[in-house]
Amino acid sequence: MTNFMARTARNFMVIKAAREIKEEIEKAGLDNLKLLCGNGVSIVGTYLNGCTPKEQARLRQQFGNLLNFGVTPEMVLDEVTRQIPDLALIIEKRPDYKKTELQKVKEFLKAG
Amino acid sequence: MANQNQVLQALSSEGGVVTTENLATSVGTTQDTIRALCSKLKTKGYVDGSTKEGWTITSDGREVLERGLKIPTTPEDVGADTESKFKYYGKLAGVDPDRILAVTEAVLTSDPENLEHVWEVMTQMDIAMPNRRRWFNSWRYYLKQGIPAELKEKVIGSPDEEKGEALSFSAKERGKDYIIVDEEPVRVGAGLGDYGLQDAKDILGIRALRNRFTGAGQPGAPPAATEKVSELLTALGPYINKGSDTDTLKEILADKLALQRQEILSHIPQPVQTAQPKSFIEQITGFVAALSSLKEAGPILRSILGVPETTANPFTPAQVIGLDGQPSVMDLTKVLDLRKFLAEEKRADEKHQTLIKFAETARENIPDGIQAILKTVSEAKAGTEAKTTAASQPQMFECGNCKTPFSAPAGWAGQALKCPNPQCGREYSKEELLK
Repeated sequence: MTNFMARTARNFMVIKAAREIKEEIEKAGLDNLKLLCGNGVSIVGTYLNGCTPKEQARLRQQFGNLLNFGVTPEMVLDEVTRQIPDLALIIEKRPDYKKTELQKVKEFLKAG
Repeated sequence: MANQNQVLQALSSEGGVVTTENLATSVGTTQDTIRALCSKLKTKGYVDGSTKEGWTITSDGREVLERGLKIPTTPEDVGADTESKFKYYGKLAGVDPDRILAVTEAVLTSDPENLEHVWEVMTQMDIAMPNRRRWFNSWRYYLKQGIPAELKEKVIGSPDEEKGEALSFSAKERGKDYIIVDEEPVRVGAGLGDYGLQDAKDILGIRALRNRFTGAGQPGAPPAATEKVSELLTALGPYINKGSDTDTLKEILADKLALQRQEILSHIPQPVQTAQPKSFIEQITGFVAALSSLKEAGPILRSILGVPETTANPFTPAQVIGLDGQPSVMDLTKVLDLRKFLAEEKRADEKHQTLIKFAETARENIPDGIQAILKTVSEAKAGTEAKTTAASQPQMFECGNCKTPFSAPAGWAGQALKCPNPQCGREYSKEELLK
């Protein structure tokens, strides 16, 4: 039962993190993201580079907490693509794009 | 309707002292009627006693019964002849029976319609002036004659007499023409009743009120005030009719009122006085209670006694900023109480806000939480299916020499297996296979 509760909590945090990312994506506009994706520009990298150091620190803290609960960036990205089916289509067309985005996140965390 | 003869007969048959109640029962009428009839009989000297003491028949009353004489009370009793009428009016005027007989004999020797002769005979027989005038006037009215001119001054009387006797007669007796029979005023003749018409009506009204609230005819119930007043009036009747002196009346009234006062006082509950003296502890307790009440009444007592207020001022001023932002001076104790109150209010508000936020958060996250649970359940299901699939599929091995894949046969229990490649044919033990 504990395992079940832990997995439920982890899934809950994944869903919440993906929802926040989804809100940010909706703010930026999905069409703009498609354009960036089509030109091969990393969305995650663009976003992280646009954040202030304070925001970057906050993001690192949040990712660190997620990792402590066993939530990996892959899990969050899968959830984001599940919540935004249009984004899932873009990523499926470019299989290496997902790997590149995850690499950007790992680099961001390591840089902190 | 009961009459005096029946009452007299009942008294005679009962013998001794008979109460008004028993008399009413035996005659078959109300007690009030009995009281009225007995009062009349007492006036005539046929009975004695009172409502309170009871009634007895006198020797005169017995003589009347023994002689078979009926007391004339109705026109049938009176008779239609001149002699009977004349005697009847004499009785009504309250004249002594012997003198009535004498006057009647004398009048009948001459012309009874000669009023001058009648007056002369009455004067000769020494009939008292009030009774004489009453008798004479009754007879005159019966004959339908006026007062003879020469008798006018005597019959009407001088002004002094009018002030004395005539007026007292009219005041005392002329108005009392009624008795109360069966709860109705009945006129029995001029001055022969117990009450005036208005008095009778008043008494009947009071009785009706009393009966409405207490119920009529309750045996054994204590007599009401109105009944007692009625008794008092009845008892006083004979004395008033006989023209008793004022001192006697006052004495009787005083006695009756004293009895009433005692009865009223007996109904007032008296405070119970403890026979035993208070103990020391009780006295101390009472003293402390008195002191505490004095403390409460301290300011009032000080103001009454003129004691100046103490110089120590219990009011500790403190300047505060009021809720309207203006500075004001308040008692420090009250300021502390106010701040305590405000802090409690603030804490209560914060607690309330926290609860509201928690509720909102929960409401927002419920869908995500449900999704997380569903996802976990689906993952668990997927994991179980994967395990089942893995268990059902045959275990695959690969030959280390020729790299030929092979699987264990169904029901493999760990025995040695050979590589299916005929060119290789290497045999593997269980430990080598599971390595």
